[in-house]
Amino acid sequence: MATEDARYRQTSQYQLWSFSPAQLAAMRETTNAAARARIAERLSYSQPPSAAASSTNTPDPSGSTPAPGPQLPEFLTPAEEAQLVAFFTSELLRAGDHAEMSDEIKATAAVFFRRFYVTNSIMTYPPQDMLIVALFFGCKAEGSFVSISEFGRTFGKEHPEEILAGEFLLCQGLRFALDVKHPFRALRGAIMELATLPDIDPARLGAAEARAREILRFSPLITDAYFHFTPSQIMLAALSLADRALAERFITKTFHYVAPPSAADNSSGPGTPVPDSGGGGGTPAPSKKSRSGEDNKAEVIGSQVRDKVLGAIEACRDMLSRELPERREHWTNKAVIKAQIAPLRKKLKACRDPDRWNLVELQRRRREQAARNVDSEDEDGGRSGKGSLDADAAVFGEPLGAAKRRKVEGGRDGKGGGGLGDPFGPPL
Amino acid sequence: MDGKRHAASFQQLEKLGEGTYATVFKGRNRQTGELVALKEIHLDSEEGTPSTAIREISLMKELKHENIVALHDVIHTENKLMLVFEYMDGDLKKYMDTHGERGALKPHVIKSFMYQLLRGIDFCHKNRVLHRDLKPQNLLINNKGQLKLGDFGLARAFGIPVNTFSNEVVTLWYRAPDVLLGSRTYNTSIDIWSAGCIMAEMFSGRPLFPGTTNEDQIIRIFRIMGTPTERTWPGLSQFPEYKTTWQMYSTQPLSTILPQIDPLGIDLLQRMLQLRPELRISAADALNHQWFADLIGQSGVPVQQQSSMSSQIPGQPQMMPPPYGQVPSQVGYGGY
Repeated sequence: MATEDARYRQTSQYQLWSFSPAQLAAMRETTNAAARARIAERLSYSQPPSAAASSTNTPDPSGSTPAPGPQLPEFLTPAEEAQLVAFFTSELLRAGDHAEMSDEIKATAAVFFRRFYVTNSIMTYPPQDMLIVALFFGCKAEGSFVSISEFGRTFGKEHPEEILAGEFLLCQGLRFALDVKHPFRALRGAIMELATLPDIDPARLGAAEARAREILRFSPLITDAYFHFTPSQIMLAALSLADRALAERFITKTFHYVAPPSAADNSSGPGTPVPDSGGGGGTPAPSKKSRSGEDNKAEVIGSQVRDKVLGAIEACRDMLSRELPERREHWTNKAVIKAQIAPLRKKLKACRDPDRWNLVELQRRRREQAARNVDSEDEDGGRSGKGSLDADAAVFGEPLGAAKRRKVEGGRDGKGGGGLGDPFGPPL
Repeated sequence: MDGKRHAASFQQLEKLGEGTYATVFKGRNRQTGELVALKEIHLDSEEGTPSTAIREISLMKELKHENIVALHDVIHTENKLMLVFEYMDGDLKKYMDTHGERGALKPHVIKSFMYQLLRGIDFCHKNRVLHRDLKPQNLLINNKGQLKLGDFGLARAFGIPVNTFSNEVVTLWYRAPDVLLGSRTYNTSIDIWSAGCIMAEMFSGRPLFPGTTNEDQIIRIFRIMGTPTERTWPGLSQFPEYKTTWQMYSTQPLSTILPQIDPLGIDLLQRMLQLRPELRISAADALNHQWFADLIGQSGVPVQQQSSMSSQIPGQPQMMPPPYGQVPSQVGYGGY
């Protein structure tokens, strides 16, 4: 029967949403470049042909290279986008606290939010709206049902459509992978296992669990940990930050009895979402085989696996240690916001996508478009690809030539960009 | 959006039925010609995407198994949400109605279906998912004799603790006694009870416990399985629905209720229909039960489906039910 490891490798979290750091960086660059190109194009087309451009700076009629005239704003860099995503993730977690949501809901919402902004630029869709959408959708995905009006009241949104307008976008951005695996349960399990050891001080164990949980509530959510590590690796990294000796104790206990075949095959494979230093992408699930004659061999292989897992945990620990829970204060510190965040938000305000920034308006236009298409849908269904481009152009008022060119450029929305094959796995 | 499939990529054919919260149509992929089942979800403009749909999508994205109906695609447009499932020719209810001898199926067909049902359940449970609504209408059958679990609208993931579930799930007839008694800490064993009820029904052609109300359902179970007491079921009196006024029935041997089942089959059924949830057999153990020995014997290594031997599927080497295509009417099932 399949091991926990094998099962984890079947999850959408692994198959669709786990990347190496290099892959993730490449995708973000592609997303950023695509958004820049689109917004630049849009802004240059909407320029009044006279005014600022004067006679010397006529927009290129072919539209192939939107002239970087003085009218075009300065765009956010991928690094700046990442910083803003982190800031708004912190805002999301604070909003979740304010609404007294469970750890799982807040964590799921944060993961949704960060996944969405891998393939969508923060310049394209408004993060302060999307974080509320992510929280609402997080509640639904975690099976906790709140009425939209009640939810809206909590966040000062009087009109439900302000929240619902983004739900469709979010869903698509997530590629309908709505089941997020968290490390909270793994932590409880590890603590319960450790509690069975004879020489463990319960008070120490309790303190370690509390601290590790505090870390799990923040550090992996505001970093890229969920993209690179398995839930149990994240859990062990957090436990290690809370009480290194305890974490090592647990790892030794786990891998002492490890069964070689179940764990040995998890270190390779192109999709292994672990940084180069790590290796083992497996979930260190304790598989307790009764001791047999092959025990020595098992221990040797077990120790190799253990070393690989330790490498992954160290890398994860490293990542988490840069955003320990104490950093919550950093992200709300007025001086920090004024010096670091405010300038970025100002920049964002100048370079955002005018067609997609207002989600309610965007949805209204798309609905109208959809309604208009209903009649023709049946007869031209076979040409859906072209139809969608036409629809896009109709909705956004872009010239058809521009839309076509964008298609040729490929890598739009980060898909298939950077020579990564298909980073999302097979199409839905 | 480039590369994404659209509602228009599918030609909508006849209506197959109404699911729990959706309408199911037969559909055809315009490009490949492949048949699909299109589950069109009524979008609630008030609350956005219904949570049942979210739950179903969320689980089905994770559950990829040959005995679970596959979710190929999700199409979300501004006005509707459509789940694209693999096409199945019918459901078990319909199959029993049309192929059964007054509803009853042939023993070797039942064995194959039970094996496939338990494999699907086992996979769910290993992935920490309870189906919670197993019934013949939710078991989909294709003309290769494959059985797959469908309609995960009520399913949910579980972990520890499993104590916050609503007890308002599972169609009454297949509902486990502990759930009927108001337990809110039920687990994987509720799906096993349902599987037992379905096995009995395939043999007899009639539901084993066709209760009309919660109370009636409990009494019908006790009439056959015997009325439990605090002595036979410690903790019984703590259940919310416990009554001191229950009539005391003695246990009927299942072999007299269902004389058409062979002794090994009765043994397995007995293990599935235990009143006390903790005594019910697990799906994994049930798959290893002797009753299935003659099925597995021939294919210890699961035979992968090869197009050259299209009817040869794992776990059911000998069986070949009549093709579903011959059934006159296909409408009226909604097991997706």
